[in-house]
Amino acid sequence: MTAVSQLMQRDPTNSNRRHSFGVLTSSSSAALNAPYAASQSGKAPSANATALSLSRSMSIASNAGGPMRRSHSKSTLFNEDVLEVSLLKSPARNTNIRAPYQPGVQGSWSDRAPAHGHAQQEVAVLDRLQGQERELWVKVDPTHTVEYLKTRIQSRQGQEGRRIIPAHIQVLIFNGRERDDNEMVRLSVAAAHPGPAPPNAPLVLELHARAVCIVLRRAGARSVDQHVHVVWAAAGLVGHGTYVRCMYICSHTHTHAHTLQVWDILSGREGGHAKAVFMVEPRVNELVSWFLASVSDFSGQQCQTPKADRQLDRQLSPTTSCADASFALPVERLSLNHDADADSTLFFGEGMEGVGDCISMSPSTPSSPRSVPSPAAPLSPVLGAKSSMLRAGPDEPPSKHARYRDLQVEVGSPDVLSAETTPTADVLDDPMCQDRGLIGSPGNMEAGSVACSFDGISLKLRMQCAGSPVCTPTRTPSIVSRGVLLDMVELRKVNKENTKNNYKYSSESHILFRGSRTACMNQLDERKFHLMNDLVLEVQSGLRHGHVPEELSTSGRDSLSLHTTGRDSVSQDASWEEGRASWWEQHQGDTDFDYGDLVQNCCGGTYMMRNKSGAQTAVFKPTDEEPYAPSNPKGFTGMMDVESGMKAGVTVGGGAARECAAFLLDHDGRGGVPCTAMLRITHTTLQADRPAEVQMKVGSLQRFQLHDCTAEDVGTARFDPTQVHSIGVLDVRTFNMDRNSDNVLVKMASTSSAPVQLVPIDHGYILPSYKHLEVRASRLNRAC
Amino acid sequence: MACARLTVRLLQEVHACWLYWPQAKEPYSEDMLEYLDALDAEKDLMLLRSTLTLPEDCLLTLFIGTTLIQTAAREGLTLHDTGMLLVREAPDRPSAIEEVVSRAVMLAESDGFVSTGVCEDFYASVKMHLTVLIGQLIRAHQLE
Repeated sequence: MTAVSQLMQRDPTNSNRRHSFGVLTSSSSAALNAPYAASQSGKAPSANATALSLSRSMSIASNAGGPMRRSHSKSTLFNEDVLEVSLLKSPARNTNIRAPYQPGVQGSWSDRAPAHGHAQQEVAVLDRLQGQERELWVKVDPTHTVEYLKTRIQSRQGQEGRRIIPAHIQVLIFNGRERDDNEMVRLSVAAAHPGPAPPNAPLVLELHARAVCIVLRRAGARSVDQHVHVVWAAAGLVGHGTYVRCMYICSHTHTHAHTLQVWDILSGREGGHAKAVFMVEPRVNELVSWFLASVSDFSGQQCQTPKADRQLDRQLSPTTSCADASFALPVERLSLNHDADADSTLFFGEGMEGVGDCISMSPSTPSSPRSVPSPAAPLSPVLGAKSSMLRAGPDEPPSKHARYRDLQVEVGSPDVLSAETTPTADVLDDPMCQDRGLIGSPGNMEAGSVACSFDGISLKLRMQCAGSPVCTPTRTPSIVSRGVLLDMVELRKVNKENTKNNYKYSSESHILFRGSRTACMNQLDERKFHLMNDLVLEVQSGLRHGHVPEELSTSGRDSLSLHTTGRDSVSQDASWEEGRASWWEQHQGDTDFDYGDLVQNCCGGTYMMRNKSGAQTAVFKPTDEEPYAPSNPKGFTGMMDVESGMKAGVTVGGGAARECAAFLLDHDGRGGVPCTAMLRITHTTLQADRPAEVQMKVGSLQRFQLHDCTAEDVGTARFDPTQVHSIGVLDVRTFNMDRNSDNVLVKMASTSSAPVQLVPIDHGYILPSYKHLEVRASRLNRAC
Repeated sequence: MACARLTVRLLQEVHACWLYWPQAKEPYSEDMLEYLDALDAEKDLMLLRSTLTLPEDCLLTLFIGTTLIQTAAREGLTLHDTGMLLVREAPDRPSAIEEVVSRAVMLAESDGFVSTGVCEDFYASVKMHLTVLIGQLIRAHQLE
């Protein structure tokens, strides 16, 4: 997964990235065959994304140009959402995922492999975890690294509907030796066949997996050793080809040090356990899923019938689809708190004492029904048979739901997030830079945190700086990134009494900044921050119940928007709220989410956001829907972070930061740039019979300006010189490449002689790279 | 319109609708001159660096632009004059600022700095040369 994200973003040679309007690429038509691709259109993969065949739900802009309906990927790799993470640049775990072809490196394959290194070789992988002699055939380039091969294996497993072993825990064994991630596949083969390789000799690799282990622990168990015992019982199974997944959750009654101690033991940092093939590395989204699973019991019915059983299984394993790459970060520490006033029953039921407190989480561990035919199968039979102490009894159904209040997760792993894997491009979605939430959601969340919540549960992400100075003038972005990490994810269960019809739905928006809060606030004009805050709160109030999808709310919406273009929209409050509430009553089954109305007269995905009274408030431009970005709703799709097809010197996906930069650079509001903020919208849906979803979009949010026309339509005589100068100065400072007169809005004055007011908008193409200026000039000099 | 866009795209130049507006040829007001004088390119760079994730080579562009408008305003150039330095007179001739930038980069490279990897020294050198060259450019423009 991470490999693909790198490939997608680092392939500047692929010039054929523009697709004409509405034309499907071959990869997209293949994706259409996926069962639910047809119903989930709207995502547009680039050609390279075919490597990501695991994500079957990756669908296309088949309705390009039509109303945008948000879709989400339901394919999970233990709930690591492949599609969105890849688009948003997940943290790469290794720098050398696809090694460049090096002609100098000698190997027996180099004779057969063409010089360009694109000869694909089929590799047979024996999946030891399947316990069968089923081979998995994977095509790889001999110049690929082993890590890339792992991602391909993961993809193949998904394609064939097998159980998916995430690449980061795969262990590939060849000739009895584990292959290093950085090793080239070709070298492995060269080692295997010292002479010239037989032409059709298959390369057979054995696939094992490291165990991912978290053990749930109940308050009251006394000794760490007991847990270690359990952990080692689980770890012992690894050798038998079992892929163990369990969770360790420590309750709040334990000290922090205690947690750390167990954690150290688990991760093999302590004592003689270090050589275990054992890795404690849950991902944040796994924990989120687990937590959602443990607190969400919407049906209220016990599993009586097989059908109900299946439903319960589904409830217990909600999918957390996260677009935010930080959710794929490894977890370092976590702790879990109980609800004091709630039922004290623990997750795994009563009557478990001593070692029994430590329960392996299995049936409700998030798992994809497609890749795992029987959710309970992978783990519980093994544990039940070989180490029955792990379960209180086979008859005990995991039907009791914990009353957990908080789950605190800390992540942060500087070594996997190195500077090299975080290119200095326009990385809006750089996981380490984007997640600097500065303000919380309105209401219950404290400042300095961001949160997404729905009626039942709120998920609280607390972003903290890793401690190092974030931004010093001498540092380049890549270095800065190293010190900035998502530190803590906090899950919180709140009162879920008031939910209607088992439907939980909410959207939250957060201003994003890079760097720590203090570092930002030192630099930021406080007035501007408050303006941003107000704007986001206003938009947030409009998102409270979600946005009614456009095509389903015809008459009422239209009349409303007609009314609300007027200046007074407060009177529309009640009817708007009512209309929307009743709409959601009727369409509660439809979880598709619209962020706003798609604006038609531009190439990018631009959405009109409304406030709670339905008035047009702001314009939201998601980064992945800019012209030639992967999810562009109008068919102009391409890759992120390559040079834009619209203008040279800027990269796709960098527009949102530039819009925001224009506002920040417009000191004292002289130029009149409307308030603009980097925004992340988090949209969470939780339903009884559906996987939980967390969707996120990052983009720029600009206050909508009521205007009468653009500068195109007005004679220049009525423009105020000071305003023209202010706009011009801003454009010169930022090298605005797109200041056409359509991008200057005009507010007419009351009298015909008074100067009109100018509002500059659309700053997505400012601040081109200086290289663009310089290189062009030198080329021209040569030409002359 | 489509043709105009195509040209702009080929030329890769700054596109400014205000360039030939009569207001752009008027001198700056006192207030605006004070504002321009108070602009601090390094401070703006810090602001963007700490709040947004723009790459450093784009931030250098902000330095170029700020230095240019400041120097020009101090020497009494109007917005129109300054804008003319950014646009090309002919499609095949680089604009004045493009020449300045490429010369500054050349000078910095001849100083022995490379523009790859961690290149703070390179940027510092480019900035130094840019400041000098932009000053020369403006003065030359005034003499004309």
